[in-house]
Amino acid sequence: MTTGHGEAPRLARAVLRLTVPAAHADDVLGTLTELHAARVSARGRLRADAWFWRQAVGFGARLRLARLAGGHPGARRPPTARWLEHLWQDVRFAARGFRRTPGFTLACVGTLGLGIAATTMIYAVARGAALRPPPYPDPDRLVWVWPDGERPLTQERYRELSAAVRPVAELTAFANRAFAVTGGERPDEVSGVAVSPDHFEVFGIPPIRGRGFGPEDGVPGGAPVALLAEELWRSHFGADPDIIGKSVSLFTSASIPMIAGAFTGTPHTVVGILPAGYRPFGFRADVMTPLVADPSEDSFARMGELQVTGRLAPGASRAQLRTRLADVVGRLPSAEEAGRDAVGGNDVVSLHEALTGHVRPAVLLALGAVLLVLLIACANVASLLLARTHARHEELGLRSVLGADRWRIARQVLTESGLLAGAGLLAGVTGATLVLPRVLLLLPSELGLAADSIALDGGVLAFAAGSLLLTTLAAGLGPALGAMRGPADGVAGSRLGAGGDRRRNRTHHALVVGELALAAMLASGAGLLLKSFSRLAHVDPGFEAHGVLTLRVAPSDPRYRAVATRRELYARLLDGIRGLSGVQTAGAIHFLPIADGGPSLSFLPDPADTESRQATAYRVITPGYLETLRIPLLTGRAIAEADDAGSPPVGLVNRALAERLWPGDDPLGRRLFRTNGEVWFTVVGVTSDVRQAALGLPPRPEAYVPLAQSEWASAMTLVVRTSGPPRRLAPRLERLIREADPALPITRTAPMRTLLDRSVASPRFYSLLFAAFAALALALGTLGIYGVVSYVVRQRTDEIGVRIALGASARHIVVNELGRGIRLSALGIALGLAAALASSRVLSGMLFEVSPFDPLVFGAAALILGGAALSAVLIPARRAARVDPMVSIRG
Amino acid sequence: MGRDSLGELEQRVLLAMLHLGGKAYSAPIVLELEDRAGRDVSPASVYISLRRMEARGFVESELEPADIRTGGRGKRMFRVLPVAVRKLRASRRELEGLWEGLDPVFQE
Repeated sequence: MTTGHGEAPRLARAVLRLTVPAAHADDVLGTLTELHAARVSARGRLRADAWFWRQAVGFGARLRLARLAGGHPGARRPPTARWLEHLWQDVRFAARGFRRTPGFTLACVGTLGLGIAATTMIYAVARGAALRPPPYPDPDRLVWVWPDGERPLTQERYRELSAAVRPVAELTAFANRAFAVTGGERPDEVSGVAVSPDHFEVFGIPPIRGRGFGPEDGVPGGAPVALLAEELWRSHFGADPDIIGKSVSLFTSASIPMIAGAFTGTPHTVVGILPAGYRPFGFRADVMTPLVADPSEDSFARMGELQVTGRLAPGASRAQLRTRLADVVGRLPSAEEAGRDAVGGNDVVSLHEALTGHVRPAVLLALGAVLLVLLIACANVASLLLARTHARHEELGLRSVLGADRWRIARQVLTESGLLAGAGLLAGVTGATLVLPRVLLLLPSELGLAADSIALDGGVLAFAAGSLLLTTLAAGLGPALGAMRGPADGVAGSRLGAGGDRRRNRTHHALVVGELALAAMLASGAGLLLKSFSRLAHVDPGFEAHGVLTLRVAPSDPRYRAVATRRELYARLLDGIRGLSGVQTAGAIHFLPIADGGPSLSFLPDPADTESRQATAYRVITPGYLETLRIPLLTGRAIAEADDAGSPPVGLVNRALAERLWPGDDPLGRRLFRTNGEVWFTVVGVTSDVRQAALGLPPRPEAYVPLAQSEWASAMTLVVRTSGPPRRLAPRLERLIREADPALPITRTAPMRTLLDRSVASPRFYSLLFAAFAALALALGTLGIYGVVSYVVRQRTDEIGVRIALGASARHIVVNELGRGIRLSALGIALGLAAALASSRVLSGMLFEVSPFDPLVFGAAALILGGAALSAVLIPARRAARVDPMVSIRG
Repeated sequence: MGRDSLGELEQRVLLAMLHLGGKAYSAPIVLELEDRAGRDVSPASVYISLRRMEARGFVESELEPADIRTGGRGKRMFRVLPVAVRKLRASRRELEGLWEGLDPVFQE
């Protein structure tokens, strides 16, 4: 008869043991186990298990209802069983109560669910983007050495340094590289990185296929090898399982490809595939090559910037490494020649901090803000529960008179808040699960949050469960204490008696004050961030972005190795573009302001006087560039077509450079010496300043030279001023470029306005997030104060009725109730703003040209909250005036 | 339903036990009832019914040694007592008396 031998679910069996009275436990368990086995063979395990669970949950209660619990009375049951039994009773009792008041239940669960969903999502983002340590073995020992000098580190210096600090740490270096991968229709520019061959030993995660690099890969003249990112392997090589050992043609260039000949299209042997999502340096490297110990690699242009990471020896500290670096730097063989250089002063930070430090403050702030919202939600539910507890005053009193002890009654109230919080948690986590993937798609990539590392994992769920505990206690403790105090006089208490009411009202008032205080903190924070963002968005970038389309092209084919062919290419493209209808002007620059970083080079008015050297942003442009972006020329002339390779070298300087080098003097006709490349050029014009790096950063000294006279610049961005919407012209421009050279990669097409917007995406996002939180807080807070004041008015209907009967005027009643609401609101708002002022230091790092104590913002926050609170108070106050004394007295 | 008469469920349980030879564990009784009724029967109701009938002297039970089918736990064997059989017979007679003469009403 019973052929199946599946064991019933262990947890369900445990539940059964705890809920079924001990006298029956063995018997019942045996019966159910046998029936379960029969059901497994008849209907399958899943349905049998579900059936078993239903029995496990219900059996004990059925026995008890049938009054079969006895046999051997409670003494033999373990205390946990009794506790669970009470809990089960409480839960059922609470659930029945909630079913009777669906509006109340929905309001509570909705409020808590909203708060928990928001908190869970923000925590998931915070955990994925900033809190979780990087996924390498012993992540605490991984470090990043920040350079703090003027010159880039050379490979030779790096090797000396890494040998000298070896007892304390194993260093490993990397440099950014750009590659173009052929295959598919056109070559694609992909990101890459060259790493020291010991990279995989230091980071401790091997490639998923093939091998990492070995010492032989770092030897000059060796066969070129490369590792591919798992993502690139899938997208470009169809996840070819036999790719290891195959040759892939990579066009390599340094990430600052300025010198002619930087391009090499070289076959590389693929030796391995990197794990999916591998980001040891915070960005995805599609291609990884070994850093080759070749002195010729040390030319500034080929190297890009050498950056240093490493792993501390077991037991060593970052401070030790810092000291060690400072010690050895002066004594290195190359120290003399190097002078003040990159590792002269440096800082050692943990890799975790280096990778997440830029987002951590904002993300933690958002987490703090959303916790405030959750607290407000709890306060709301607490005041609803308090009102409900009071409404059930007589019932609780009766239970207390009938012998229920106070703890039991308090526990009943806590069970209610726990049940509400549990339902809220369920709703919140479900909501977060559904919404989070969509939210992640909307997050601008400029936030620097690694979206693929954000998920609702175990840690996040544990956090959500923690928030359940918080909400249960925060929402239930007040009412539970109230219930413990309250019931004694519940039955006998006169309806006009005010003693218990006053105490309860104090709790109510405290909740209102707390809610408004939290809302005020959020509102003032949001105000500061919004004002800061508005300031930032209205910064004059120094050029006119509106109506300009930009296209970045990166010629990587060996044909463009010679500078002349590149110049010819750009001249041809610009000629073609200018001939299109709808194009007003066009030009090109190698590093577009705001969107691209760009190199700083040293310029000197006098090569003999090295102290006069001036770090200057170096820009290669074509005629038409300044005109297209409408960058005003202050004096002199712009660069012209006539400034070609055969004519004397000329250049432009911006106002900042002119004022730095020749304060008060006329810069026109002055000569400047460029240390890198050793050329003189004559200043023929001065432009106004442009914000190059970011809207929030002041303009730096800048020099412009014509492409026709520069050896540098391979990738250039074409800028085109259009008569219509810029985006509409994009397809025609892209077609024109493809016709000119089908193999020319277009690596970015975007209106200048979009690039500008993107550059402030992060502050925009955080200020809107805060504004949303503040709006939510305001709505919840206003609802809270409305609820409390109308509750108080309802409770005091009798008293008010008597007062009206004794001759108090309606106006008097309204003023009285209004006064109470205003006093509470004012106290809450004042406390909140004071707390905000005291803690505004945490915001100051995110503010742009706004004081964290901005009186306007704080005033506005007080006004808005005050207005909302007043309108929330007005409605119940007017209701109070309409109390019919006959009704209330007859009651 | 008088204090001494059998409820409907009690009658069903007893009849199932008699089908099983007059003595049975509770799990086979549940399965027998499900087989004959063609629907799920709550083990809790059957168990409660058995224990109540035991208290009222209609069935008796004894604990038997462990068995692998119950997961190695001891099993309680219930046996129908003669008084229950008498009660069943009485209730059958009573019902049959009520049915008598009603055949035309129930003709299909």
